[in-house]
Order: sequence, then C-alpha cells, then structure tokens
Amino acid sequence: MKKCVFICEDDEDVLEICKLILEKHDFTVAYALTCESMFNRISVVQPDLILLDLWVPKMGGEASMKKLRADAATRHIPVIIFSANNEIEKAAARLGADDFVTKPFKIKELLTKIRNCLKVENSPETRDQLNSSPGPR
Amino acid sequence: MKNVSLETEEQIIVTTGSRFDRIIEKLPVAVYTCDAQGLITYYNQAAAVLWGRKPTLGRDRWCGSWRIYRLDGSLVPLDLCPMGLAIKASREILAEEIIIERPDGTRRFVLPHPEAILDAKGDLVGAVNTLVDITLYKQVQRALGESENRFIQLANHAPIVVWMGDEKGQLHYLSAKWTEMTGQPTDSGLGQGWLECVHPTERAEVSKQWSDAVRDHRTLQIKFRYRTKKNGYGMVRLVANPRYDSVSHLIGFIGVLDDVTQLEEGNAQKEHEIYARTEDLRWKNEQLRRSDERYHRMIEEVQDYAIILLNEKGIIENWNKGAEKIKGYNSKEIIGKSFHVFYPPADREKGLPDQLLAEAAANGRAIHEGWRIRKDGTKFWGSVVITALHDVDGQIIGYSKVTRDLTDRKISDDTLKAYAQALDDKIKELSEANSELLMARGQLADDRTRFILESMPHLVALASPQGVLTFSNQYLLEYTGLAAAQFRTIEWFDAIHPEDQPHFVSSWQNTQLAGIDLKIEFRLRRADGEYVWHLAIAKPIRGENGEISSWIVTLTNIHDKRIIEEKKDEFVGIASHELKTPLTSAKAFIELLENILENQGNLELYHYAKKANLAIDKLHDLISELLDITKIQHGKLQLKMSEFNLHDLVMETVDLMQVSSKKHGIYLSGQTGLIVRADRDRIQQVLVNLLGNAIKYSPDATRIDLSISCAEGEVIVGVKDYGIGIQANDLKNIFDRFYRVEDRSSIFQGLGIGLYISSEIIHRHAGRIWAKSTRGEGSNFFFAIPDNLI
Repeated sequence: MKKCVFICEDDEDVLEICKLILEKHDFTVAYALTCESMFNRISVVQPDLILLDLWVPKMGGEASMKKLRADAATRHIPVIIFSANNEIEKAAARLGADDFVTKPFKIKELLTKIRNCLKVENSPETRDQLNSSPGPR
Repeated sequence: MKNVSLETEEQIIVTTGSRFDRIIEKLPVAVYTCDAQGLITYYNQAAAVLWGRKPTLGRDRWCGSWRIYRLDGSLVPLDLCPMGLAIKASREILAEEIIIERPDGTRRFVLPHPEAILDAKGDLVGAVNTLVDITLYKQVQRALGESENRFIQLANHAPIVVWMGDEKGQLHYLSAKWTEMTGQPTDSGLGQGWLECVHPTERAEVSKQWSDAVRDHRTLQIKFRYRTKKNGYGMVRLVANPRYDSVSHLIGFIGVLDDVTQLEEGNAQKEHEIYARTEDLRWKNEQLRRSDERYHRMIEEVQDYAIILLNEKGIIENWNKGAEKIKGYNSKEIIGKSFHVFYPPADREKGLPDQLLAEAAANGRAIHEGWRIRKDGTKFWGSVVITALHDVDGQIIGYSKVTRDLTDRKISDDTLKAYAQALDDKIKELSEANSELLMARGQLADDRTRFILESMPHLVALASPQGVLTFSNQYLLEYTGLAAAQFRTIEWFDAIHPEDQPHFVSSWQNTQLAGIDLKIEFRLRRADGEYVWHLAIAKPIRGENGEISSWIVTLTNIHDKRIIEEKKDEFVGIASHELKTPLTSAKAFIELLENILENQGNLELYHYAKKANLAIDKLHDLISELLDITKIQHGKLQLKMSEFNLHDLVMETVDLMQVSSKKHGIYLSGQTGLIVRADRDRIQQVLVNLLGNAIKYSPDATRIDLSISCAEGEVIVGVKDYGIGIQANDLKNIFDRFYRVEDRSSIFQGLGIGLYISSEIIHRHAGRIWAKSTRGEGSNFFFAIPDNLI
C-alpha cells in the first residue's frame, strides 16, 4: 500500500515538482497551499507523513507544527520541515520535527529523508522519545 | 634667577666689606690683625696712636706695643702677650687688663680682646685684636678711691661724730666716734637708725625737723637729748649741710653730731671750737668735692663713649656727654635712676642687667653686646663693658659702665643676614608657588576635562579601573533619569534591557580584567521607559607607568541604524528565501531532467542539464553567503562545535571539489589522525572557499597542494596553487569585506566575499588565517585553529 505524503507549500512550482518526484517514487501526494486548508484536509486524508514549509501564509509553519503536536489526532504523524530558511535546523529541533529538508534540495536527499522517517515505528510513544532528542543529521 | 641674585649678594658683600674697612680704620678703638705666625698684617689709626708707633707690617710680631706690663708691674714677654696666646691657642682669649709703654715712656692701661680667626675647615688663619684704652677710667677709679679714702680717714680721726647721708636723708656713713659715743656698732645707726637714740619725747620732733630739712635741702642745726654710753641721756647737737654735685644737684647731706652736754653748761669756748671744726670740715668737704669734680669733668669730656658710674645697686650716679649723646637722656633726667632703663623689656624680664652686675662683681668685669633703648624709644646696638669699683678693703662701691654704639655695624651685619634670609624665603616661596602652579594646572586640566564631558551633548561616563562608574555627565543622568549615586553602584545595570544584560555585564567585567577596549551594542532604558539601542565604547586611560587609571565610556545612540539593520536583515532574509524558492523548483526540475536524459543515454543533453544544475548551486551559494555576511556583521554567526577527524573532512571536501573541477589534481599531504573540535560545516565552508579560489585563480595550472600539519598548539591547513598570485600590497587587504584584486574582476566572477567569510569563521574559532604569495608564481593560503579538544 502506497504511503501518503501531505505537502503544505504555498509555492505552486515547488509543490508541483515535489508531487511529481514523490508520485514517480510510489507515494501518493495530498497538498494544501495554506495551513488552514491543511488542517481541513488531513483529518480526511490521514497522511503517513507531512512535508511542512515553514513560511506558509496565514498561520505559518511554526504555529501549525505546534498545533499538529498538540492535537492527539495528528500527534503521531511524522513531520519533515521544509524551508529555504537558514535557521531550519534549529527550528526543526525546537519544534520537535522528525527531520528537515533545505531548499533547494537534491531529489535523492528528499527521498532518503522521507523514507527514513516512514521506516520509523509510527507509534506516538516512540516518536515522543525521538522528539526529545536532537533530530538526525 | 638664582645666579643673578647670588651675584647681587656678592656685590653687596664687596661694598659692605670696603665700608667696614673704612669704619674700622676710623674707629676710635685700636684694632689690628695678625696672620697665623703672629706677623702683624693690619692695624688702624687708633692702634698706631695707642702704641705711639707704627709697626712694620709682615715683620713685627704679636703686638705693636713697645713694652707690655702686668698690673703688678712685671714685664710681659712679647710672645706671651694676649694676642700671642690667642694665636697659639687658636681661640678667643678673655685677657686681663695690661699696661703698655710707648717709645716715649708714657704708659696706657689697655683692655685687649684677641680672637683667633679660623677658616671653614677650622684651621687657624690669623687673629684680630681690639685694644680698649682704659687709662682714663683707671685714673678716675684710683682718684675716687683715694679721695674717699682720705675723707674717711679724716672723719674717723675727728673728735666728733661725722656722718654722710643721701638725698633722701638716709645715712650711709657714720664715723667711728658714734660707736664711742653710743656704744653701738656704726651699722645700727645707718639709715634712720641714729634716730633710735633720740630721747623718746623728742624723737618725733627731731625726725620731723630732719625730714623737713631733707625735703627742703636746708641746713639744719638742732639740739636734743641723745642716749650715750656714759651717762644715760646727754645733750647733742646735730649739724646737717646739704651736698651738691658740680651741677648743683643734691647728692646728700653731710654733718656732725656733737656731744654738747658741757657746752650747754655754758662753755662758749667749746661752742666756738665746734663751730670752727665744723667750718673746717665743710672746707675739707669742699676740697674733696672739687677734686671729685675734676675727674667728673674729665669723664664728661669723652663724647664717643657713654661712661656712667653706678652705685653698687646699679643706680646711676654720674652721666657724661657721651652717654647723653648715645642714650639721649641728660644727666638731670637720669641720675638716681637704675641703669635697667637702657635695656629692652625682654632683657629686663630675664634679669640681664643684674646678671651683668653680678658678673662684674664676681669677675671684675662684664662684657656684653646687645640692643639698648634710647630715651626716644629707639634701639641702638651697644657694646658694654661694666667694671666693678672697689674700695681699699676690696668692697664693691659701685661700677663703671662704658658703652659704645655699634648700631651701624650691627645694621650692616643684620641687613646682610636679612637679605640672605629674604633671598632664601623668596626662593622657597617661588618653589612653593611653582609646585602649586603645577598642581593647579593638573587640577585645571582635570576640571576642564570634566567640564567638557559635563557640557557635551553625548552620553559620557568615567569608570574606575574596577569598572565602577565614578562620573556620569549631566546628559547621561537626564537621559536615563537615574541619579548619579545609582551610576556609582551596579544599580544602573537595571537600565539595560533584560535580554542584553547578561552579555553586557560579562563583557563589561571581561573588559576590566583584560584591560582592552570594549565595544558593545545594547538596549538602554530611556527616562520615558523606552529601550533604545546604544553602542557603548569603553577605552582605558593609562597613567605614566601604563597602568589603567580610569575608563572613559561613551554611549552612542544607534537605535535608528540598528532598526534599519534589523529591517535590512529581515529584508535579506525574506529576499534570500524568496530567491531560493524558485531555485528549489528549478533545481529539482533540472535534476529530474538530468536523470531522464541519463537514463535515455542522451549524453549531450544530460551534460547541458548538469551545467544548469551547477549554475543553480552557485546561485544558491551566493545567496547563502549574502546571509552569512549579514550574520557576521551582527555577531550572529554561531558555531556548532563538535569533534571530528580533520583529515576525513579535508578528503570529503576534496572529493566534492573534484566533482566540479576535474582539470586540477588536488594532492593532500601531512598528518591523518588529527581530531579537532570545531564547527565541521563552517570549516568545510572555509576549505571549499580556499580550494575554490585556488582553482579559480590558477586557470592554467593543473595542480593544487593541500597540507595538514600540527605546531605549537595549532592545527594548520595550507592550500597552495600555482596561479597568478597576489601583489604584496593587496595581500593585507584580501580578507577584508568585498575586497577583490581589482584588475581581475573582469576575468573572475564572484562577490569576493568568500575570504572575508572564511576569515570571520576562523577568527570565531580563535584561530588565524593568512596568505603568502608571489605575483605570477601562485598563492599559499593557511588557516590555523587551536589544537584543543576542550
């Protein structure tokens, strides 16, 4: 069964190429251009992983991340922070993200990190443990 | 200044010296000097007159006198004269009176006063002798003694009682006949004692008549009953006549006391005899008075000396013209008074006059120099010789006092001393004024600095070497609304924004410990509560020995600049983010295209896509560098320290670089096992930059040498290329921001900020970065980071 990756990204070009790459590599992709719409969609989509851009309109990536972690329904979903921001590594650690991907990225890097995250046992308890330690480098 | 004064002083001495010579030459006192061998070297006019001859200078020895005798008449050998003794003993001799004989046979009584002259080392250079001619006084003294003696002998042999009393009616002499008459010692009759023998019923009347006569200077003849040895009370007659001196001044009374018991019984004959005897006595007294007068006259003629006769109690009995001239009193005013009046009150309180009398009584003579008071209250410097006068039994009957006025000499001496003292005082005053001036100047400089600081429209403070703010200017106090006292404690740290406080306080303390300049940006709370960005600069003020005496602290409002920079940072942040977003999709699409073309085996198109991908990477690097610069500028470049194998990192980087530049061979040498503690990514960034430059600036070369070495606590990495090299004058600037070797700009691309960023990264690691280069032969860049794992 194909794993579902939810991409929250406001740049349509970036969204398009990511969707293209992931679908080429046997993932199903759902997406949202704003955080608000993401929250509307994920309860329906039930994604296996979220690729979250930090600078997305309205609520913004950081607040969305906190909200995802605060909600029991979404707490278990692994999140990879996805940004052109230079502070992304720190942000990932601070927000308890599972990993991060800097923009621009290499296709291989993106796929490797997503696969690594999805291989991890997805029970909430295990993830909480992981979150308390610095993200893998 | 001082030299000029000394010259003046010498001039004065010379002038004064010649004046002294003249004074000494004309002095009425004989003065002469001898050298150490006793040869006479100088004598004044008075000396030649005294000696009656002129000795040959440099040949005659000891003394210019023809012959010298002692008072007992024995001859004194010339070399044992007082001057000879003074020279041989090298000191002052308190010589006794001597008698000198002139070539013409006349003799003079002389009081010599020889004194040895010693140089600064205490060696004898000669002696000076003063000879005072006292012949006159000796004659007067002898004549007085003789006449007094004659009178007393006469009176004692008279058949009646002869007495003498003073002007107040006190008897001071009673002849021996009184003892015979009354059976009592003469002493008990002196003063008013004789009245005790008057019959009690008549005593009051006799006493009154006597005192009336004394008061009115009258002659008195009175009879009364008197207690006698033989037969109780007999009748006596007292005859008293007043005595006058040469100027008709009453000096006392003289008279007789005669037993007239028998006369009263009608013996007129006897009465006549008594009258005749009384007349005889009066005549004799007159003779005595005349002889007395002659000597008085002689003494009076002397004008240059005050010659005074004192009785044994110091009461003035005689006064000459010299005394009047020197002291200003005439004889009427002064006779009968004590000689104490000539002495200043201080000397009188010390009892000096009586001491001198006592000294004269004990030693025969007292010599003294000192200030004396004239009648008009002015002072003169007197040189005094007091000589005791004795009667034949050796009893002191008075004193002669000879005074010279040496004021001129004293004033010259004192003027010189005063001048030297004044000069000394002036020099002291001057040097004190000078040091005060220096202090005042220092104070002024200090005050001026403070005044300037105070009035400056800038925030300025002074801090102690320990970092305590000792002074805050008015503007700073107004600006912060804090009190000066708050600045003197750590209270003022409260005005620093809580977020900036820890960093500020630790930097502040480190600055004082290390003694280096402080430059820090922080937010300071204004009086209205608003936090405003300031740049604090603290610089040490060093003392003469290089120690820090204080810190000057200035605070510059950089709020607007800071806000603009923050906005700029924000802008750069957003701009780079926005730039990277299209790069993200572009890169990913190109990569996708690369993969497809590679799979299709279309190598030409695959190559183009790969080129496009590399160009995107470069664009990405440039955007990243732009962000790095912004971070470095605000000190936000933070290091993620970890321990890693440097060799592994270098190898990894070389592999990375070889991917993009296959033309150059990169050769690595040196140590392999070095573990360092640093920011791995940032060190790699430096390596990429240095290798990139090496490749970029050696387009015609094919080799780059990399080395890793270890020396003195450092790990050193070197990158050597064989390219165009850098000119010497450019070398020092290459690590500056945006510096680029100018004429190459058209050939090589890039913002030229790579070396600046590398340099900042290495400096943040407490390391150093440098380069060696020869134009046309290539460059050798090095960086070193500390070899510690702590």
